[in-house]
Amino acid sequence: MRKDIRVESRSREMLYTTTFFAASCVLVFSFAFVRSGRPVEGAEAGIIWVALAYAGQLALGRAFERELHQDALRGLLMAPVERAAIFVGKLLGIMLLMGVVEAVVVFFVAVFFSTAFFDYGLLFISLLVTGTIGFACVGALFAAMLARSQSRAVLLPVLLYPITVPVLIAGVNGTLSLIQPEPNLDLARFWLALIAFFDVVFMTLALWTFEPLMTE
Amino acid sequence: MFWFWNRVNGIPVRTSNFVALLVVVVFLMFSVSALAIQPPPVEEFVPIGELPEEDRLPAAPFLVSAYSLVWIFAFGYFWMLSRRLSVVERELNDLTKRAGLESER
Amino acid sequence: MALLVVAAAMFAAAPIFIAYAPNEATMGLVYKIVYFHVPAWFMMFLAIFVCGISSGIYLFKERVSADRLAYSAAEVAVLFGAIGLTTGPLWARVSWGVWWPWDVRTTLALILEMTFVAYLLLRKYGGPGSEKLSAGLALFGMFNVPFVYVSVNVWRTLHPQTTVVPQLPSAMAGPLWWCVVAYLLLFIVMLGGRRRLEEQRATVERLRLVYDED
Repeated sequence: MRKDIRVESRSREMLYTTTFFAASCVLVFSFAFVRSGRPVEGAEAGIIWVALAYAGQLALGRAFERELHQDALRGLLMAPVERAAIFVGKLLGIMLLMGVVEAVVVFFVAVFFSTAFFDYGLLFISLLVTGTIGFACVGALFAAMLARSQSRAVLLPVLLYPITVPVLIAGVNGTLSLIQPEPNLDLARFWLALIAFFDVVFMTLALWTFEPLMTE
Repeated sequence: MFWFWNRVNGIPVRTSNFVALLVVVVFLMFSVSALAIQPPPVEEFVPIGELPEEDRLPAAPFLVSAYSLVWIFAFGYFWMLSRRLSVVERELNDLTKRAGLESER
Repeated sequence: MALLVVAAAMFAAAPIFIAYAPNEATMGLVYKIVYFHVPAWFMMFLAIFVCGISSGIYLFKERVSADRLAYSAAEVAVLFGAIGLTTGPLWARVSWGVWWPWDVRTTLALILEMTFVAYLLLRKYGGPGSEKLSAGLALFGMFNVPFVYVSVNVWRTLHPQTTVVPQLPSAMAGPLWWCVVAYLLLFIVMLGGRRRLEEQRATVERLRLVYDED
């Protein structure tokens, strides 16, 4: 998708600032969840996902704001490209950004908390990927819709969180079952399957509704 | 009572009302959470029949409050609805009267 | 006119609520909150389906009346959800000892309610164009409902499973379904009234557009 590349080439600033934001989230949560020098058990899982969610929401808001400033969104909609392709292009761009943020966040959390995330690397990464897909998919849809609205900064989290919280919960629980002292692989796979199911539902809904939602 | 909804009134009136409402809501929330002090959650599910006498709560007040809550919600909603409806209907009357007057000219 | 319908519905509802109370086999008095709790959630699910389906119609068929119905249904859904979310903790406090156990069903139900509160917030403060976005939101919310319903069967929770209701002995089932019907009447009246409000508002807007041009 040409759109994808465009988004990426413009987004260096977003990349750095969002990553930094995520890192500072991790820092804040570390203070919140550390008791007498040791982290509360299982807090790492929550920290990763929450930092990811916040950073993702920030990125979403900014990604579409850019479009607005140059009225690029309207131009894009008038281009002879299929609507769904626009959506997927945007989605991929956001996912790429979130992927980088994830890598940074996981790295920091692993170092600060000495957590063995990669004992079950494939499962863990699958959890992250599917979770990102779900979150980004819903987020891209709502952010695109809100791009033209006045109170978008406030409304995006209001709309986004109730829908994506199930994905986040599943992600946290899945990660937890991987990092706990006796990792429970079956449980992790169950949560993974659940996120995948949510992803399918969300993607279908998003692709189906993107066209009517974007027409004025 | 309807001046609260009247759009023609100046903004300061609405804001102060809104602030008052907000204060009341926050106060209610705090008082409810103060009352909601609960024992630490039990690890295992214990059927109510086997719970020792002192831990059992009298059920009647809860049942009665649940019942009254339903009525309060339902009535409250109908009341709100009728207020909003009468405001809109007044506006509608105003507009049709104005329209009627203009079409006579 | 609307008042008459309201009065009729309330007349139907009131004796119902009183009638069921005496004839119960009991496992503790507090379980009777089920007569308020379960029908409230049934009605909330119904309202959400109405909202979701009419939102879909609005999005794909561009019928504005469907959007008005969706808005009314969302408000009614939030109301019934609020009833469910307040009667639930009242029951839980007595039978489980805590006001709010964070299990799957309760968490998902809370999320569902929040989704539709978000819908209302969006409609109120979103500015122009928020009708379509809220319609999309309603669709997402609607697809969340089966999860909420099925969650108690899939996970082990404190909440009773969905098999309980079909298997109730008739002494309890009778009043329960009676209450469901009463709530249904309430739902229909509320939805109708709210929808009428929306239609009046739309008429006012139209008139204002026409006659305020000078």
